[in-house]
Amino acid sequence: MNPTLHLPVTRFLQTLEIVAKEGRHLAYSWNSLFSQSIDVGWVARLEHTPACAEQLEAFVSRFGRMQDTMADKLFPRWLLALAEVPGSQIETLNRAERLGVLTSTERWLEIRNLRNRLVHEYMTDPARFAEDLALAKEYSLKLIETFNRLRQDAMTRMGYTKESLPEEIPLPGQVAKSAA
Amino acid sequence: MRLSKQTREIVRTTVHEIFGSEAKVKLFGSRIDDTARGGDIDLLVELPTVAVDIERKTLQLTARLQLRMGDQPIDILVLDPSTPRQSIHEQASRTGINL
Repeated sequence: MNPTLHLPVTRFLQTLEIVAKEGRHLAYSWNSLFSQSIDVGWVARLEHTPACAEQLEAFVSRFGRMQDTMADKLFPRWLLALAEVPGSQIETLNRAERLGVLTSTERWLEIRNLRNRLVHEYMTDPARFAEDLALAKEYSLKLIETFNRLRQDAMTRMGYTKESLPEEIPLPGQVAKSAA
Repeated sequence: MRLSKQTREIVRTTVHEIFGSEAKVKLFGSRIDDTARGGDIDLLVELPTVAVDIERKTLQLTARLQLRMGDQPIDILVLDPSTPRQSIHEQASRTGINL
């Protein structure tokens, strides 16, 4: 049986490819943004450092995009490919937690809420914004780890070979360390 | 105010779990208007002493409330004595109803 003949499976694999690209772009922005030390002073200087502001925009937008695609598209399509019927977003997240792809639904909602904060409450308070960026730095790794676990799940539960799936995404920060 | 007794209890309990029993929570915004419909749940959390990790705790509070009350838009402002006051804070504090 050729699994590519099944639409839900094809859509899941396409979405996994898209998220893999988003993840690699996020990892790139993570590395370039957090090669600097980001603190209140850095945030306060943004008005006068347009190149940093642009770097920040890229990171925030990539963080948000990866979260959105995973929660809105990848998880439901993954469940459909497993012949399950995805429910509300929280139901889908709970199912992913039960299947071992998510470590915690509550944590994922925190990531989603952070994405909304970064996008909508842009820098009203530099101290809080710097705190949000530190959280986004940490939560980016959760997004990438979750992608890697989902990819692993596609191999173990759905029987895909490594070659037929996008590559695992190395966690940013650790790339630099292993290269050094 | 348009927030059920049960929901108010969940809000109070969850705020205390995350920010401690000294934290005070008020409802403000459109949910205090009995004639309006729907709308975000706007909460103001006031802390008597300076706290660490306010952003992380705020995200955690929002997430836990969404799990306990159903997935809906919840907007939370948290003030401790070190928070620079903005006009929205004063307005929320003045018009908000204690939960």
